[in-house]
Amino acid sequence: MNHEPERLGVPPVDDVHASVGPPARYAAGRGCFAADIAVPGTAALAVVRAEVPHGILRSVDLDEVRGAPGVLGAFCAADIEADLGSVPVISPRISPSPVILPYLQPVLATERVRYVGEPVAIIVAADRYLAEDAAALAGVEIEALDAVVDSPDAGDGPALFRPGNEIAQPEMAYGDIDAVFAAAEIVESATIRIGRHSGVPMETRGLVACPEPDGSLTVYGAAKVVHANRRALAGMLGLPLERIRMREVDVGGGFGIRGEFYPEDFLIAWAARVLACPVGWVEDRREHLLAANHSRDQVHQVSVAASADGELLGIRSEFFVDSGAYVRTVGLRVTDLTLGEIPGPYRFRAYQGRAHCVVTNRTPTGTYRSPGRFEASFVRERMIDKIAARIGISPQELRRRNLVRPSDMPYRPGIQSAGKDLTFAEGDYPELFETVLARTEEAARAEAARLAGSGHLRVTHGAACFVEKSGLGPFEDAIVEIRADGSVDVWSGSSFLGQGLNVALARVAAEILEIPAESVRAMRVDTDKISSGTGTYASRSMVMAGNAVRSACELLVEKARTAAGGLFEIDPAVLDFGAGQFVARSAPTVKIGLGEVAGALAQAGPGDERLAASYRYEKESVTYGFGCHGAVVATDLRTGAVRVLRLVLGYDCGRVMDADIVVGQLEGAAVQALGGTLLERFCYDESGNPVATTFMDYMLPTANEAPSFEIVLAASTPRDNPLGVRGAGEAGIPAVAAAVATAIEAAVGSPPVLLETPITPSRVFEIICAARTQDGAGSG
Amino acid sequence: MTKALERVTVTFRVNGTQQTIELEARRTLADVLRDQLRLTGTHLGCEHGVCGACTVLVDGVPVRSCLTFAVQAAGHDVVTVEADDDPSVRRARDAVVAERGLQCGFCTPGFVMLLAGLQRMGFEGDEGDLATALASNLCRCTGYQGLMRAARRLLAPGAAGVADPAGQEPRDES
Amino acid sequence: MKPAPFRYASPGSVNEAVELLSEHGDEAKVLAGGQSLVPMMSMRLAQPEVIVDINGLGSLASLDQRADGSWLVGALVRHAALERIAPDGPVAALLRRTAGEIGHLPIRLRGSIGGSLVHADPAAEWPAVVMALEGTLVLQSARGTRRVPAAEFADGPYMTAIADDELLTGIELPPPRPGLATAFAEVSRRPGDFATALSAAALTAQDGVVTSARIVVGGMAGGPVRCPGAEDLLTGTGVDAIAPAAAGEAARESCRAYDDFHASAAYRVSMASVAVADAVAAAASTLRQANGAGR
Repeated sequence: MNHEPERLGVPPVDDVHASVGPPARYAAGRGCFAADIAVPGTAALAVVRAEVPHGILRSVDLDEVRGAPGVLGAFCAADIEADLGSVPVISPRISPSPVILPYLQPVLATERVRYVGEPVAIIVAADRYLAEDAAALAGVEIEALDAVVDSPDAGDGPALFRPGNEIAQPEMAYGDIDAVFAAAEIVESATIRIGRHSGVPMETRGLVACPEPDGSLTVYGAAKVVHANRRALAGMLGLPLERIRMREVDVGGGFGIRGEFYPEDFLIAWAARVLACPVGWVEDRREHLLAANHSRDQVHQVSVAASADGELLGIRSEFFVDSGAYVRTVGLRVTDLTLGEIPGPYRFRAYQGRAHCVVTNRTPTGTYRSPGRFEASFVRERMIDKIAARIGISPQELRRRNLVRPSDMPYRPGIQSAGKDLTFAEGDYPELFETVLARTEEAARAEAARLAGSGHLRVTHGAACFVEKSGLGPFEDAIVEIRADGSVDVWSGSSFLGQGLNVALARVAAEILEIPAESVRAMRVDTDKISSGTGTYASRSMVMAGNAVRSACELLVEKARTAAGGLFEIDPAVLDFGAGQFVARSAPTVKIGLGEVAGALAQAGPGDERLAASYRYEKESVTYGFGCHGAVVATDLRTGAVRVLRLVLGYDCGRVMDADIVVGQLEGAAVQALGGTLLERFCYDESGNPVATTFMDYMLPTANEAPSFEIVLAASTPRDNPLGVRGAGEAGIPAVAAAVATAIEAAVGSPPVLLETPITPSRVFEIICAARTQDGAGSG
Repeated sequence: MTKALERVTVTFRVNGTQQTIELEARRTLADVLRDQLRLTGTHLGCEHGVCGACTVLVDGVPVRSCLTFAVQAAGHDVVTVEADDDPSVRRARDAVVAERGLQCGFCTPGFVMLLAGLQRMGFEGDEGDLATALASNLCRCTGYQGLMRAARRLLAPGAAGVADPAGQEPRDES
Repeated sequence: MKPAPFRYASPGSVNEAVELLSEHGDEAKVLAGGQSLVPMMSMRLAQPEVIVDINGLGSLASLDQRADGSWLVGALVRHAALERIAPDGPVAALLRRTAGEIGHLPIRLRGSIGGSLVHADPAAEWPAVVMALEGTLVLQSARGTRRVPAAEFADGPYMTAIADDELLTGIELPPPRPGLATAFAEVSRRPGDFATALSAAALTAQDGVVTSARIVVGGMAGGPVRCPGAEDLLTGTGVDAIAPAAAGEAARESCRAYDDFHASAAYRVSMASVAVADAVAAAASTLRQANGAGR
């Protein structure tokens, strides 16, 4: 048989390839992440990467590399071309507009390199130490070209591609924006910049590709969009789909950036086939910070029109989205999501968003948790503060007056995002806003009292609002199977990235089948077991996989009822189902458990009959939910240091399948958002060289930076899915940055001038000095 | 005259068992534990001493095994997250699981070993001290709330005297 | 990120260690705590041919206060050991106060004061502290022993006066003058990070008047720098009249910084003045208490 789990080192089969298992396994070091897989004979792959941001790739000389100790093979683009006839490029998984075709990335650089970190060659050796030794011998000759370093400058710099550096100019609008602005009493404008940062999971990327004796290929380490990646790989290798099996293992966080199809996803598989041996690759952290998708990185020229008495009338933004050096598998999705979020949860009469998607000589960007919403929310909420300051009312009062209300619903301004109509259909936005605001103010009072006497620390608060989207279709598949012992296996096309989806799906199944959740095993994606599915992103899985599992379970009960009737010679119509078993209405002592039915079915039939049902849940709509974030912040007026003491996270998540999971997702996301707000930045020097290539320079929040939390969950029921849930995976992100910015300005006594993330102590110190100078001047 | 050698033979205890390995001097302790001894619970998150996922105990104190050459462990006592018989490791595991201090599980061994080491060193501290102690390691999923709860349980003043939580049922999330 | 191959030696004595350094010269690097060296080796920014592991040299790990009140701090003394030193007297107090600022516990358990001094990161704590305490670095080689005052040892960012064949064996700290008060302050992005700016202050007072002041700033462009402007302002001032903020302001002229990824030059210099002000305030407080107790 092909690579059965017993040939994998650690840990026991069932644990890895069956269910995700209880958390105790991880705490005991019995996880099986991609780097832990030990297929005998696996060679180690290292990638030789470009070290200049832009240049003509003159030559790649691997002769010395091939002769180095332990090297099994070394390859560049020419070798791939010789094997396949051409060098594959990575096609978009979504949003496949024809304009992006010239900007797709070849799996190895061909005539040009366009970012530091771009794969130029691969080396396969006995282990990673030897592969890196050999990599030092690679002769990569690049004739350096000037680099395009910043997105607004993309139009002025050298062209990275023949059609130029501007990929597309997507737009979105509703209402008569020009009329609204022309007639408005108040117009405020600003340039707002969201700094480049990204998901940076603690586990770097990793893959193991194993050629099988029958000529097929098994790939371990895929995640997020396993079925799409399988299709992509099959196409690029020229293999039929059935010849590739992808099996997910333990995943150390995804956040949107792991799991998309990268060059390495092709390269490892191709190398394994060419060398006819298993090939494994574990990315190191420096590579990860250079080559895994970056995100955010937008510059907005935004204006808001309002009436003098505080009615928000119109918002428009012309903005640059930095795609980095290529367009990745998510196409222009981030831009689309940004466009859809700019007006947010407010009743603007008119809106216009005009984007410039451009390429630069920086790491390509993709979707990172709450893509488009972190950016757009910061832009919009800062402008609301500016309008409020201009008019002379509190920013919270301005929000209060302009939030979409239940009486406005269904609120349909007439735009689409992710291809679906933007519709706010449920929820009491003002009520949740008031609750979060009140809790934030209370928390601020408590913290101020606690820190009274710390002369230079000023405790203040801020709050900002957003809408989050979840439940993106078009479909998700689920298979549910009952075993003879009564336990249940659940497969779906969605991935377990560490977010607890396995537990949530188990609860759904347990609820429908009326059995203990402990009897349900949610299985990792294995394309041999579930051959189609969509994946885990955009907070879709609770809605999509959850409902697929729900319906599959309902179908399963009916199948079981029919089977039970046949096997036990009872009319199925008189079998009542409850608590995991059927009871004959006429003879209540006759109880048939689901496991019994499965066991009887397996024995009775000629073949290996399983008691299983599958379901494809399809959904057209996107589910929207309102949220509000409040921040209590201590600002050190001497140093500009900012400490976020508490975050109040409010979100309308609908039905809560597992409170611990929802809370964990909100808190984890919010700390990531704090990272993007105060600490994390991928910075480049004037020549385009990346500066933050280690954790010394790319700073992540630690326990010292983590605030305490208060979670406020509203539960309006979304009408667009039977489970009545909204995904909560991203709802801890969008408005944290704006809430913190508002609080800092309140501490300093500054007007809204913090218009760039990350907000560094350096910058805060600047506005402190400016405020002091103003005071000095004022009191002359 | 001492000779400098590219290959060395190293003998050290790992989880109570003596190991003798002949290897290149440049191999890190983390890689030797993972690759030679197949103790893959010790994880590599950064390989430059910041994330702490590779934390093990060397002579009872927490150490970044990615910054230690295996040869430096010669004659020393190494304890990894797989040490099922070590009481401080078990207490740390149980506290982290009971307090929901993990999601994806990748950083978890590093935190377990950090907490085990802090216990062994008799560390006690208030809220600020605990946060500072945990700041040795990075987590990207949880926002640190459950890890702080686990740290309080193990290391808040007077906590050392509390009955072994291994006796209590950890929450099973299967 | 795996280190390049190297040859490894673990000498059993200081003599063996310096012989190895003598033999291999600039091809060799000394391995102490490894918390700075090993990351550089993993990133292949440093590729020494030979590693001389001095962790077996127990004699270098001793921390002794001698009968005359002077200190000999072995080069291999770990930050964590200094963090636990009993704060008897102003020198020990400064060592203890500073050690806790360095990195995180696992780093402090391995990293050494000697390693920090020789690595000479401009944002490191020990170079500034040793300068403030008028320390002397003891360097041994096959050619003999030489002593270099701290002020002459630091030679710029990551550069010191140590020769390729020399081993730093210890740091001598003179006995504290009567009336000495010391303090340390640091401004950094996150606790444990390299400093944006730091300051070590050593103020001596007699009869309620400051007789000498050593104010050292670290985190600026070169190595640690003295701040004569601040020192002159403080010398001759009554302990009750010490103005920390003014001292901080006066320190600015000695601070040169560049704009870099982490901070603008202007911010760094401003934070240097904050660090000086804080250090001076803390030292002044000690002096006032001593002054009050003396009356």
